[in-house]
Amino acid sequence: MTVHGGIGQAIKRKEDARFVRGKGNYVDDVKLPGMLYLDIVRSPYAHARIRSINIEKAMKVPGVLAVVTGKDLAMANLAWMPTLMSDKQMVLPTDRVMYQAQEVAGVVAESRYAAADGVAAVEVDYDPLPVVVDPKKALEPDAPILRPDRKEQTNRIWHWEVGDREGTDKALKSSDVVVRENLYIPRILVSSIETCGCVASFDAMGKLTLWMTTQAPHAIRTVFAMVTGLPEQKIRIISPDLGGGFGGKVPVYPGYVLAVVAALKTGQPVKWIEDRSENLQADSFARDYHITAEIGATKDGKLTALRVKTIADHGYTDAAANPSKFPAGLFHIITGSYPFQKAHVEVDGVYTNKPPGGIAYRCSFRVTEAAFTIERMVDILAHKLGMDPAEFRMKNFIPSGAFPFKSVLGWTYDSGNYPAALRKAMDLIGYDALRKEQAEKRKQGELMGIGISSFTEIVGAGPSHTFDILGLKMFDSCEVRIHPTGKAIARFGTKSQGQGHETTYAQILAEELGLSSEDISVEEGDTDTAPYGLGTYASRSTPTAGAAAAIAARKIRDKGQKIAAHLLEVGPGDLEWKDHKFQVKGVPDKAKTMQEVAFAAYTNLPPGMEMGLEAVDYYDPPNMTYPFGSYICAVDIDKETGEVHIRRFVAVDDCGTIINPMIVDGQIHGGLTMGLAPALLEEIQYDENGNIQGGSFMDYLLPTAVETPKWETAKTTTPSPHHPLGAKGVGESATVGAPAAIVNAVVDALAHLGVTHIDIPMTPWKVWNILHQKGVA
Amino acid sequence: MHFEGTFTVRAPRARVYSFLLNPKEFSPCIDDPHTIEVIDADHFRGTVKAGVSFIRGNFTWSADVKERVPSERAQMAVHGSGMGSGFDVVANLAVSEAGGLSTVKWAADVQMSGTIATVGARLLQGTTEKKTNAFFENARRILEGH
Repeated sequence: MTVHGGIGQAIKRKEDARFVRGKGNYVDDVKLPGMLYLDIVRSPYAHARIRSINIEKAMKVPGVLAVVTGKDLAMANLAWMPTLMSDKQMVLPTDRVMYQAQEVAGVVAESRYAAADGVAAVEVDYDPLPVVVDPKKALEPDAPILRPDRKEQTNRIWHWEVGDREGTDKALKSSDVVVRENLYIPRILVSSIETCGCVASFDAMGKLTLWMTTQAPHAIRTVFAMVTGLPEQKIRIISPDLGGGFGGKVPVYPGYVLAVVAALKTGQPVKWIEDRSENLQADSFARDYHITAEIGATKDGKLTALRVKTIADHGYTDAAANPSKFPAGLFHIITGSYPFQKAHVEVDGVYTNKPPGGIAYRCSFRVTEAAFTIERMVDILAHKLGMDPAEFRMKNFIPSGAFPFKSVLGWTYDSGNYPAALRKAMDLIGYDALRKEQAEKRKQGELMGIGISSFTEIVGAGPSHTFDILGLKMFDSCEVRIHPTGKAIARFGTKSQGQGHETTYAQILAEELGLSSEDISVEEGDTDTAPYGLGTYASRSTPTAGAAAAIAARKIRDKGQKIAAHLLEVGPGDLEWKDHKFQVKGVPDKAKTMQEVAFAAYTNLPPGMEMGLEAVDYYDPPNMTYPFGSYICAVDIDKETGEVHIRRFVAVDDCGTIINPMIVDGQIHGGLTMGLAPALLEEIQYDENGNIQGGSFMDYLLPTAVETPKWETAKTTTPSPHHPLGAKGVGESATVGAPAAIVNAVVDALAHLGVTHIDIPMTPWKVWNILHQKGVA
Repeated sequence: MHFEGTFTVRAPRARVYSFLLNPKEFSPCIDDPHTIEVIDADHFRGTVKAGVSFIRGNFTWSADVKERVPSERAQMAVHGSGMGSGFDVVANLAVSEAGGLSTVKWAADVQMSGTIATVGARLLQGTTEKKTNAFFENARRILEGH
């Protein structure tokens, strides 16, 4: 017997009933009596000393009530705040700005328009300072020190390395073939449909309610309590519906703190909503990795060793949302789907005059950078060896019988079957036929390429023994209560930003409790009601909170079994949970449903049993999960324009047990589009003065439906052995895997011209220039 | 950004030189609404309502004449700010005369910052050239008495 909306069913998303009717409730929908508006003065300079800030004219603007400057905040010890990586960042500067568009002052007014007029009237006298935009130049001895407030007088934030340096050197030296390539993964921005914002309001008892765009409301409340000194029980953070997050709504931005300060200062609620350009120019960025990689193999095509050196541009502060132990995130998943015997990875985090970088844009802590690097390098090596890239991968994959597999850089992969995923992708796209077609087209001078990416992700942090953020262990939670009528409410420590948690979690609980998913309400995002959790990012919700839901449901079942035994006048050991009911073993007709048990939990309990039917679980995963996939992309390149046309893209994903196939497909479609974007379009650049080039959607190019090809998706299923449901998480897989497949396809199309690598984004102009240099265009 | 050009006008060299360094005289050559206040012979300041494409607003500016070789050459530094933007210009001009025509060779190094450099970056070159051409056309008309 199946339950309605149980695991594996492609039911429609419960939350879409309000979203498609425009009934979502976002932060900007919050309107409170007497609410004021905050707008922010931002620096036109990337690096400058502030000589003075004159607010006189601004205070005369009709409707302007207050202007907050860094000096005001400094008096309350709030000018600086900690980042999630234990660095510190300015809320407002007292003497120096560090990047263009940095917050300089906050203007509070009766309307958004008055606040904007007030911003225009604030006079700031700047003394421009030398600007450092290139992280390699930032490491040169004569580079200006950008953070003189630190004890270490260098622009190197940290150096991190893992692996066997000497062993890798030796293995590369003894390899028959070694290839080396410089890869740049440019700075990009998540560009959620909804920008960041908040509404801060203090009640008469001094309790702060903060509606804010955050992916991690509980952790942020703790950080707010630590920064402001407000008692944590007097802070309520509500993260309502979010219009996308993708990692960009994990950090604490100065605007949030300013709104709270402004509400405190004025005694009225204050709303801050950033506009699109502010979002593009000042919010935390992703990627910006300058990578040099070397990979070796024997002459018959067996991988030997991998060496990677990286400079990570973090902007003026290290505000990445990485687990504390891993300043470069989980970049050391970089050995990917291959059983290297030797590997060594070094990363240097560097300060520049840019906004904070290093957020995990739809990527579990630098996994995109790792997957891109290994899948590019494997492809380059296959071409060097004259081997087919698919054959080369098949020859080198971690064997499916080798799991759990301990990688040379320390991770224990839970499960995998990489050859099956690649074989399925090859069959679906007709790989052999495509290669024949490519050979024919090449004879005719046409440019066609086929690219493969067989990536392995690492998601679902904790476990708590290894993962924490600012000391907060990474676990997650679920609290379930079944009402007397057999309907249920469940609350979680995570926070959906569009992933469909209300449906996915309800399906897990439906399956585990024998209820219809329609009868289960799911709530997240309110720190006064939901159990503590670390939030949603890094594909961690199903691996952690999804597991907590299953465990909490099983705790309820344990109690329910005793109640059912009482009702059936048998011993609990005489019952089994079968077909979503408590059945007397061998007598299926003698059974009680969860609804019957729930009613009895409030009306007819066994003697001595506590009333009610509810449970909570704080789930600390024993290991990460390791989703994987194989993507194959076929492209045609227009010789006259350099434009890349994606003819076909087949994505075979394996995320273990699938809760809702439609939601998983939606995640993959979105993720593939977000993987296409940096491959072909997106890049935030800066000129030599630190002016951001791409501060609006006129210059920062996002893919629309026009640029997006038809995605062809398929699955293999290799459950995680340690997750209660076998699920692994899928939110980010496609974004992680797609860029390398596209670049590999484009380079494959040009390989016969001697092209080994093209940095992303592969714009028509960039490709055309290569063709022109090669005498093709 | 670097801009440079040549402008020829049928007027005596000394007249052209003094015109280009006298705010009261060159003020009508600026099409955008503006004010100019002369502090002394080498220092001016004012406001201008200008911008690139739809990014328009009020800027305050100040100018210092850094070098002055009468009738031959001059250098001027201009600093301005407004609309979350800033600009710094170092402009050089050299005036020569032949056959009744004066020729002004000019060059300017411009540094923009803030919104106007970010959002309007792609349009800056064209806009600046257009405004410069308009300025010199206006100057020619006045100097030649049209």
